[in-house]
Amino acid sequence: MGSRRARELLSPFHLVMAFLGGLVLLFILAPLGTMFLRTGTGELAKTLSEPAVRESILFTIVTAMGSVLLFALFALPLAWLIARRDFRGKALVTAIIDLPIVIPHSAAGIALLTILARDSFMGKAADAAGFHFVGHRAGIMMAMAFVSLPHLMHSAILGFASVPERLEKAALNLGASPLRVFLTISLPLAWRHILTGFVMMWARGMSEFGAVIFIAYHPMVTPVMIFERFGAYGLRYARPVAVLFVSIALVFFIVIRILGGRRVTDVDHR
Amino acid sequence: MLTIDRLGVTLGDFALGDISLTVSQGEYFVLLGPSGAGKSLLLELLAGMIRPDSGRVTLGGEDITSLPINRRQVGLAFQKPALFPHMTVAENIAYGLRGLPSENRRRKVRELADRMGIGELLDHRPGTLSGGEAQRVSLARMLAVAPRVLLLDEPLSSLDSARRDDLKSLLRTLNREGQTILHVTHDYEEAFSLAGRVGILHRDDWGISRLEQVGPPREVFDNPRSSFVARFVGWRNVFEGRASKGAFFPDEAPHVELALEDTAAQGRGLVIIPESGIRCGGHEAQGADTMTGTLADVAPSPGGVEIRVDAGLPLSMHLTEDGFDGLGVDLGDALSVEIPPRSVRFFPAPHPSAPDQKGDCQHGTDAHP
Repeated sequence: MGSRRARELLSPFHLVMAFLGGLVLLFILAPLGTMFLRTGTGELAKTLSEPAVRESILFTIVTAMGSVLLFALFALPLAWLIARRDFRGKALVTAIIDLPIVIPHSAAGIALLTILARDSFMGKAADAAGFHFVGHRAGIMMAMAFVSLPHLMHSAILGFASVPERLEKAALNLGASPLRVFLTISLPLAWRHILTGFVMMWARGMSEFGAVIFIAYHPMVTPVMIFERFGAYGLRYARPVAVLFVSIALVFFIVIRILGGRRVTDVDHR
Repeated sequence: MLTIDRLGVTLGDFALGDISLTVSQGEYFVLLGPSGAGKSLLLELLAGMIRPDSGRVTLGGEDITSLPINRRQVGLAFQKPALFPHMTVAENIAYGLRGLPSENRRRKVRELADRMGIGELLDHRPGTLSGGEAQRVSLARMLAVAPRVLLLDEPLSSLDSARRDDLKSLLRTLNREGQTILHVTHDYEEAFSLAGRVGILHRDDWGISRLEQVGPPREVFDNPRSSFVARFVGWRNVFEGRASKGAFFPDEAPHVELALEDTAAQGRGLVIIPESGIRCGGHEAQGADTMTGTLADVAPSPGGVEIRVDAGLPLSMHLTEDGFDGLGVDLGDALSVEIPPRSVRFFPAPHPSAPDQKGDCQHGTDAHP
């Protein structure tokens, strides 16, 4: 397939398209590259030696992961339903899923704060259970999940839809319960899409600033720390933290993509 | 025993109307119909993948009409085997074997695989199997759960003829060992070689598929109840029309008169002229039952030559190669055909191709004990 395309003749039109497209790549890579190049290794080492920075990065990574795993428990069933069943109001449900993408993240933070504050219903319930959302990891997880869930949802819906329905029916036909079919057929076959969704949601949650800062300034997630250092000391002090954070996220991102992409299953989509 | 009682469903372009049928314990029943007749739909209904609009399905006396798929014990083999691509052949076969100790499970998988002739493939992934191998794995996986009835959806359609014969003989063996099988296909020869009884599904002018005739394959072949069935089982020269005073007048060519052996035959009916019953006489043959026509088509076949003569009626016949060469005719040439009265088989109406045959589906309910 690809090789055939690669052999097609190039026209000036293709070159114009390639030039315009190249500008997009440059636009993404130039600021990041410059940021990396402007940051000396000495600065990086010094920043990395600060316990506050290390703690913040670890806290952000773990908290974002927690929010992915916790919300996957609810997001995957919904994604499966959307991919598999036709029901009244399905279009509305998918539109609701996209809402967090289209609203400003600061507004999302305000909205979340409204229901998570200590005098709210949820806040009181959490109080009774012995914890708070505001200023705590639980609240940060909520804020991360709110803005990043659509990424998992989209991938998971795509994944479940790509599983041939007749495989699920064949499994049911062999006497397996619907739950067993979900766990042994649907989930494994949709796994690569779901994993992509996990990575996207995790990366998006980890980098969230707008919604998180309304829920918790402390404990400090790294995006908030970058903002704080920029505000207090300026670009020079904020940059090494940003570089470190981006590098670590990239490493995770690449490792997970490689692990997830390694097992190639030849699913028959016909 | 599988009993289908007045099952009806409308789904998109497909509609099944009042299907009634009984498949006895240990029977090999083949349901025949052209593509689009809703054969697969019927199997999916029986397997519980689709809810019927009306009617009832019972299996061994138990009403399974609204039982969930996974509790029916009805094994459906899809036309394209739905093997799980992320599992090995052994894992596929073992999928339905739950609650067995792993040692027993392994033994059972091995036993089934050997029986299906796929013992060497247990560690393979489905993606590496040929069509015939995949079909066997699918059967082994199904048999592992000992279904009360096996539903086969055109299981031979994607195989080459050698594999097809192998699988046919395997299916016959399974049936001899007591497995009840309901098999759907569009191929009458396939049905003939496998079925104890066949049922013919026909989509009528209103787009609703009904069972048109049920019986042993030979009986349906020899006594088709309608021109549709007659053509479907392979007869070429099938004509509807009217008999009067020892002659038959086909609807499509009322001026043509075919002499009947039974001079008392009267009224509407159906005529079948076996291809072997027509004699071709070149230009010179003369006789009372001789008609003249033009050679409309010639097609070589493994056993000789199939020709079509337009003699007012389109007539198909089969000649040996020498016989055809002896005629010395080309496309468009005139030639005479002789149709002796004993070759003209008349079946009086009513037959189900006439509209409004309400009682017809009752024919579906077990003509055979």
